[in-house]
Amino acid sequence: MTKTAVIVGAGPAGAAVAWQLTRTGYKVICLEQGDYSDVSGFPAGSVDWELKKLKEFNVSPNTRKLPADYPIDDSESPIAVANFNGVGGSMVLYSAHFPRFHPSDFKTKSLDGVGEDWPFSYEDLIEYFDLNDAIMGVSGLEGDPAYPPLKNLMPPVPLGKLGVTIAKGFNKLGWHWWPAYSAIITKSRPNRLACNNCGPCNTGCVRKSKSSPENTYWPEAISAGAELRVNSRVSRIFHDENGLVSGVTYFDSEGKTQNLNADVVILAANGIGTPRILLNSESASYPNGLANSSDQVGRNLMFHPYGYVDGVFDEIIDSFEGPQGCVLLSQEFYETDQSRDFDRGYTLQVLRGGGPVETALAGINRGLIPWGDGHLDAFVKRFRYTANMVVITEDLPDPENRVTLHESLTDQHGIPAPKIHYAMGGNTKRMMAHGLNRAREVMVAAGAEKTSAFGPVRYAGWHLMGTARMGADPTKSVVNGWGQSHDIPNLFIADSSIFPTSGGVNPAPTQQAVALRVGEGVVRYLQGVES
Amino acid sequence: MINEDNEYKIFIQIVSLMIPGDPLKGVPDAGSIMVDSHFRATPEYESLLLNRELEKLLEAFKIPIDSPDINFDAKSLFDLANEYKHAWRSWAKAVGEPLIIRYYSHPRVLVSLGIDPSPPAHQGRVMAPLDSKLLEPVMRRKPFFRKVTSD
Repeated sequence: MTKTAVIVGAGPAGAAVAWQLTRTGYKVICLEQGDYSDVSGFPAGSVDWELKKLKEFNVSPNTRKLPADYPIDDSESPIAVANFNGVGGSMVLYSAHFPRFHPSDFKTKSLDGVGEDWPFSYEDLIEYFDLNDAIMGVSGLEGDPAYPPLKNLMPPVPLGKLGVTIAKGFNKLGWHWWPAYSAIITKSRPNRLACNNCGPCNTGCVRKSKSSPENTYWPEAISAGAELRVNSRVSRIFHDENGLVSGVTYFDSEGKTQNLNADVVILAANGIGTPRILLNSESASYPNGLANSSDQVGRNLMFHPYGYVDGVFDEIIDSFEGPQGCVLLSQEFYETDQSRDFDRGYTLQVLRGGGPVETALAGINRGLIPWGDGHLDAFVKRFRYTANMVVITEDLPDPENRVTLHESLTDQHGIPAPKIHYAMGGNTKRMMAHGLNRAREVMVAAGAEKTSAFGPVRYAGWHLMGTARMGADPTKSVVNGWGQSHDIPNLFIADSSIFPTSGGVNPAPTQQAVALRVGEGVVRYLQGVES
Repeated sequence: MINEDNEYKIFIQIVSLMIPGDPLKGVPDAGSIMVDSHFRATPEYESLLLNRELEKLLEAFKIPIDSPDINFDAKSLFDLANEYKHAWRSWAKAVGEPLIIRYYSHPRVLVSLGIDPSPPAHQGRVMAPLDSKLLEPVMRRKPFFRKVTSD
């Protein structure tokens, strides 16, 4: 009889695992708490796109409050969780910045004495990185001295006047920069149009130019036999008398409780949702939650605290023109340098400006645009003459930064909401201060008349890592290098909750490469059981 | 008894001074945009009324809301705002977001500021491809990512 794999979550990791498993003939059922997005309803296709971005496409589930969302208590964290619940997961709203982790990111303990080593290396992941790039469609430029060789990239998205201006600043300082690696196709593919540089990728892409699971992995996985059940929220994973997981309990689209049996369960519900389900699945056999004999489930939450810098120029630089999150990046300060007062490093990522509403609201809130006389001039200055850069700092694991189940707050199904306990560590604070100062130097070198900076950015908790970390030691980690629970061999985790460290770049391609590898681990397990 | 017509008139007067427009460049003020977008009929305006935002501001300014001859100019309004900072901050916090959203998404404002008001995805943008000369200094660098022994 064909074995059944149940995947929880249809985002970047769940989609990659589903794709991997359907190639081997196993029965795959994926449960997703959200729905398919109506591409024609994405904001960028409407005149009121900025209003939609503030409401139903807001990055915060606590603001959106859609049926697919569950509340997250992040009131005691300086960084608020940003996500999207639906087919494609948070990639529906991501900016598509797509740089890989570096080789050193997998060995921070050995190299620098901080964090943890991953149970595999960059080299072990290359085949999955390359496969993922091919499926998703990635643009960029080969020859970057900050990386081992990359291949098969489409032409990069244009720098625009803003990017050229800032690139000259980097050149003046002699610092590294490179056109952004972007999960945006610059050449059309079947059913997907090449990017037309319209801008607001982070509200969903009407043209499907932005590479996301719902327009890459899922169509292939479904045509190969995967079943995707939407509006289906998993509350618990149940197990048999031998301690193996035997299925999941979920609320279907009508709110009815259903049990679904499985030979293997793969969690891909992100760094908040995955520990939530594990902790909520406690039983007499597993009183601290599933897969939690190490007490590491929910711990070591890492975010990538963002610092923000802008520079105002004396000439128009068309701040808002082009894909918002993808201009160029610098990894001049990515690797550890003993002369600095922090370990590890960060990426500088240049961003284009937001739309008129976003620009005006940010300017008012930061006191950069006054009310009354001077309002319009200040607005125009920020809209057309301002460049933005973020500092993406590597966040080191800290067991006190964690996700727990809320004592009283629940979602609409009565499932406890996650509560975030998080504080920025001293290393990250020093790193951010360094990054903010360097970013200001770039702005000045590029000709900015004025600069301003702050950090951490509150609504930037996109990157949710570490809360079910992998490792070789079962007393210090939740899963092994194949995403397999140390405690329960037929329970796997595929999302970035298994990252032992965070790197200093956006985690999306690394997350998907890891998920493809986990998919292979699941296949090996099932084949082992069968033989 | 508060005269709602009068209250709305004062509201429009104040927001017109908050975003004054530029008649020479044809940029409208916020008051005309709020009238044009029927802000008075929106839940946001209702919420401002329910929370007595304007009443609280005028109380702080020591101006009776039913006085028929309230007529702010920029100087008088912002002098008062300066004097009663706390009340002004509360007012601006309550009014700011709906005001900005209505104003900066209104086609008349956008066109007057030289911004295409049509949906972004419909417009697209023609942008120049990368000029690789700009990258030459970086391309001359040797690989500087940290080598890892097992790699």
